[in-house]
Amino acid sequence: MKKQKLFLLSSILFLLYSDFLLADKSEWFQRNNWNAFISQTAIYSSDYNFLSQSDDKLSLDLWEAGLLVSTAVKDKLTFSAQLLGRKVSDSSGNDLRIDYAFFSYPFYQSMNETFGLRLGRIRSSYGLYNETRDIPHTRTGIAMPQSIYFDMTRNTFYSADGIELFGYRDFDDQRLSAQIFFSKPVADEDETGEVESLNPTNLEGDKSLLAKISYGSEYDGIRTSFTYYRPEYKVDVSFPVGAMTLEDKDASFYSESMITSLEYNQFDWSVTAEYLRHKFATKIPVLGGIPGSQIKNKGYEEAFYVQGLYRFSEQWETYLRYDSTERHIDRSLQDNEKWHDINIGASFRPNENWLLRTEIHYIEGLSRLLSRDNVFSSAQDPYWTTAMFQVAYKW
Amino acid sequence: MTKLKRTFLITVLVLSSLLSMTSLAATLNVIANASVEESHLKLKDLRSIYTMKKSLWSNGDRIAVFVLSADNATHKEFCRKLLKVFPRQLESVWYRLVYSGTGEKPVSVNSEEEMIELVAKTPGAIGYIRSETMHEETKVISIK
Repeated sequence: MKKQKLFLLSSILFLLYSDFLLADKSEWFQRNNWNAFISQTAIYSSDYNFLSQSDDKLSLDLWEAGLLVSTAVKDKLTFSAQLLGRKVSDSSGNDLRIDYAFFSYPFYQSMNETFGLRLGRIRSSYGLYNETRDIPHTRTGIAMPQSIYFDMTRNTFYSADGIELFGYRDFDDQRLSAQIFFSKPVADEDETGEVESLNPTNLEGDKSLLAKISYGSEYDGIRTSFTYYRPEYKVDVSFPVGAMTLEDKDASFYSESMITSLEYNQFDWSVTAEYLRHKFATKIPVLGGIPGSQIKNKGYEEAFYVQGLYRFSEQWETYLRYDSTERHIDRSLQDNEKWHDINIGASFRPNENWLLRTEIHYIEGLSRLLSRDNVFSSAQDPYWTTAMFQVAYKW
Repeated sequence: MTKLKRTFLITVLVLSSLLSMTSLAATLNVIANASVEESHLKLKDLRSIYTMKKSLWSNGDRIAVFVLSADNATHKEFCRKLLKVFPRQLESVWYRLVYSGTGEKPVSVNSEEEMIELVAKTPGAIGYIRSETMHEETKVISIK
């Protein structure tokens, strides 16, 4: 498989290079754009470490930085890549990775319609905001709504190597678009422990499918979308069975998400709601001889958020959001199986480069906390608060 | 104040505000390179062009979009009065395209003189100015 990918990549590069040598050089690498951003966030949390080591102290752990380049390689063939640095806590280390790097080619383009493909490492276009979730200037608040855009498995779930077919048709300023993305997810070993609770010792992306359809305008009127996303991973698991520990190196884990999104935008206000139905399960072949036990850790959760945003002026805006996740299970929910977060925030943009933000969250539940940053016990308080302040700059 | 005086005062105020609106609309011009075949655009088309959705003219030429810097008064007026959007909302749309790697933002210029010069020499270009000064290689696009 690796040889096939290497051959495909070499062929593309050879064709591009031979064309480059023969062609008029002025046609190559036009419209080059460089962009960059950096942010630093201060977080204080009352009882837990949330996106930082901030339990009962002020933490400056969370920073983000990105460097983006895009160019028109030749004619309609474009290339875009982003190097992203992000640190959410000491336990996560300094995370520097190629977030995406892909070629895009529209093979049919008219005044109102485009059909094309993208090839390479692509950010999943999950929900309304996953593609730009790491850029402070395109978010509503400092923390994304954790119900839908959870940070526990951000790298493992949201970036993948593969091929995406896309198409859209414009109806005046409304756009109907569809895309389908076949890929291999890029697993992040730091996030292995977050994926499920069977002590996995290895995590490798296997295959993934994303299909999305959307309609509307980004800033005037309704915008709606539906996303189906099913990434699968190979995992090595070990778990206790009686007095023994059972191990399986051929286990697999899958997650299946269906997100329905709806947003309404007007000149000075916006309302956004997204609903997620999330199924997950670990298949363990070694348990094949035991009826009904081949699949472990199976379940599903329902999550949604509703958010209102008001723009007072070109510089000032505020938002109010309710964010909820509950696991479906035939008993009362434990604290780490739910997340109810009411949060409010404000932002100030003195000019197009600088951004200052603050927000406060009142949370019941622990299900979106990073397990690698927290030690959970049955006596913990499920009600807690966190306050954040962020300064960001973009070039 | 007599009833007649009050009526006169209100009439003057209404007329002057109407005149000032007409004056704003008259001085803010959408311009394009002379190669562009279109002589008028629907407001929805202009919005599609400035949100970088519409990328081709009707003859298949690529649209090259130019904007003034975000703090420029003409840019603010163009966004708020013509597109009916905060400049920052428009920026968010552009940065979502740019930072997802799926599109480009418009080319930003520093002055109306530079805008006229670049629109004049770039085939398929579109921009906007408040001044009456035009270049022979540019044309005014009316917005319906």
